[in-house]
Formats: sequence, C-alpha cells, structure tokens
Amino acid sequence: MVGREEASDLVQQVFLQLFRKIAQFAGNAKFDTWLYRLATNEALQYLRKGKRWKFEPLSNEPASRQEMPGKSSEQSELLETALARLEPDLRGVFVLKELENLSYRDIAAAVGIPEGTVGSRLNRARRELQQHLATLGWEA
Amino acid sequence: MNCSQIQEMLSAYFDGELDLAKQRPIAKHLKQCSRCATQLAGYSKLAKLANELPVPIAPKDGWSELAPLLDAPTTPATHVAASKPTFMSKPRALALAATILIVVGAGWFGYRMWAPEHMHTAMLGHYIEEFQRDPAAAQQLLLAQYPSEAVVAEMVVQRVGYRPAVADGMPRGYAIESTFVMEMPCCTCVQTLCKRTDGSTLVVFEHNDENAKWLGKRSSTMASCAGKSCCITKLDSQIAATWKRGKRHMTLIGAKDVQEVEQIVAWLDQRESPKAS
Repeated sequence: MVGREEASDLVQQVFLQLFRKIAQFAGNAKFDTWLYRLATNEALQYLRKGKRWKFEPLSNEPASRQEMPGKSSEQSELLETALARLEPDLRGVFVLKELENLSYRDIAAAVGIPEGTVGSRLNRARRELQQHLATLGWEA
Repeated sequence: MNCSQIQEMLSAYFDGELDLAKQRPIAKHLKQCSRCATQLAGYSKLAKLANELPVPIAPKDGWSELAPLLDAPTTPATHVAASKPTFMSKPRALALAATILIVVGAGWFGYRMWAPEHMHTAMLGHYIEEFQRDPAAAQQLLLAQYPSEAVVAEMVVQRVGYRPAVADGMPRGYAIESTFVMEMPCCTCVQTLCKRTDGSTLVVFEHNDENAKWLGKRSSTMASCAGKSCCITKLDSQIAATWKRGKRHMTLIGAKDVQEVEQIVAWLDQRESPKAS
C-alpha cells in the first residue's frame, strides 16, 4: 500500500523526467503515447525497486475526485483490491486499456511489448481480476 | 473455431481490435457457446466497474508549485521513512499518477503550445461557419488543415483502436458518403459525412476530447435525447449536438432540429458495441 503523498511524489518525479527528456521526443509517435511510456516506466520502476524520492511535497492534494454517476464506492474498492493482487505487468495493460482507453498499438508502445502480446495479457488480467473479485465477494 | 482459439482472441474482439473477417466467426461461436459468451459478459462487467472508478482531478494550483522546480538544480534522491498506509492502493497510485501527470502536464504543454490550440479553436469555428454556407468547402478546409486519411469503417479500428459508432450505418434516410480519420490537436477523431435524401449534409464526429472548444463560445443548452444528456448549440439555421457515448464523445454538425438528434442518438445507442459504456 502506498499513500496519497507518495502518489503525488511519483507524479512530480514523472513530470520532472518529462521536462528533462522532452528534447528526446522525436515526434515520430504520438506525444501522449511517449508520455504514457515514460510514466509507466517510472511507476513500474517505483513499484519494483521500492525507492521513494524526496521532494517538497505538493501542498495541494487533488482537488476532488470526479465521481461517476451511479458509482458504488464499495465495488470500486473491491476492484482496487483485486487490481493490487495482479502482477504489475498485467495491471499496467488493464489500467492503460480500461482507464486510459489506449489502443493495443499505443499500449504496446507505452509498455514496450509486441502488439500481439497486449491481447493475451489483457485476457490474463481480466480472467484473474474476475477470479479475485469473486473471492472478494463481488456480485456482478 | 474451438473455445480455446476463441478465448485467445476474446479481449481483442471485445476491444474492437479485430477486423470484420476475424470478428464474424467469433460472433458466430458466441451465439452458440454459453461458456465463451459468459466470459465475454464478464469482460463487459469489468469494464463497467472500471469505468465507475473515481477520477482524481488535478489541483488548480498544482502548476504553480511544480513550475519553480523545473529550473531548480537536481538533487540526489534520498530515502524517506515509509508513510502510513492509506486506502490508496498501488494501482490507484499508478492511475492517479498518470492522470494527474496527464492533466498537469497537459496544462503546461497547453500553456507552451497555446498558439496552435488557439488556432485549432478558430479553425473549428471557421469550419462550422463555412459548413452552414457550403459543406463541401468546409470539408476542404478541414482536409487542408489536418492530416487526414479516407478510410472504410473496418480500417478505423486499426487507426484509432475502436470500432466507430457509425460503422453499422445510419438510420434510413441517410447515406454515408465518406469516413475520415483526422489528426487534430485535441485528438484523433473519426469524421463521417452523411447525405440525407434531399442532398443536404450531416457530419458525425467521434472523438476522445471534450467538446467545449469545438463550438467556441456559442450559447448552448442541455437536452435529453433518447435518454442521453446532449449539449445542443444553435447555429444559424441548423444545430450542433454533442453527447457522451461510452468513453468518447459524438458531435453532430448540421442537424436540423433536436428531433433529428434524438433519432440519431437512439439509433447509435441501439448499436452500441458489446463493450459496456
């Protein structure tokens, strides 16, 4: 489990990396794909190595959370718990597909895998998520 | 095809990544196989659940705090004590990080790139004005301004990663004349030109971007069209309408009235893809 402050630190780190590496963006791919790749790499590195960066913390937390109509907070927490049980590689493709709505081509570019691998990882991610949710008592 | 083969392609089918030739045998199998159909329904329920996750909004003053750090000298990272665990899980941290980054980064990028964005808004305003006078000339404006590719519906999936809403056609009384994938500053959008039986033109845009800048500062009202909340903007002799369809937005340019908008919204709603919105 990580805190909201660590999430903010991670955002700051990714953004600073973006600023430092912007000259490396050659324009031969979509900018947001390149940005997703940078953010994904930093996030996965953070999760795997467990490092934390110390910066001046942002004094502003996200102003609010945009609630979707009909949202069930309990079901959302179940999904978050189930997601936490996935391997990072599976979790990454699921988030990029379902939350960021990237195409398979863009997910492949962001994560650095062949496009054909995206579908099989999503299959595994979705099946495992359903199994975890069932274990957690999720009622579809 | 057997179940094992179907299930290998199930995500790609669900996400609209397969061409029609590959979709057909899968669709046929799903009608006959309850096991695979149930699996697909499970994907749909997961998508709906994921779509209901709360989305954090970047703080308004976030940029003013980040900006000074951009010019600050780089200091070595230091380890800090673990913070107390909170309800926020790692995957939400990842999603939060990506979302805030995209929002804040887009804000910075937008500031640095305001000129093209301003031009884009002006361009769309010009397009809408010209459309009411001469739709063909308006189309040439867009094609001259943005990288565009004329495509058939099946090719759109490969270009933008989703099957366009109008892939299965329009209601009776409309003929699809052409479909373009356009690289706009706001997003890559799918534009479909339709002709009514009287020869007049209706244009359908499908895009990932919020529509505010499309219609400039024209006044608009909200209306319920076939159960969808639609933003209706009055043009000179026509109307424009925008509504959310799944994770994307649809924009109609050149609708005659709200009744026509309602008819089209209802038609597209009935043909929504297997993936839940």
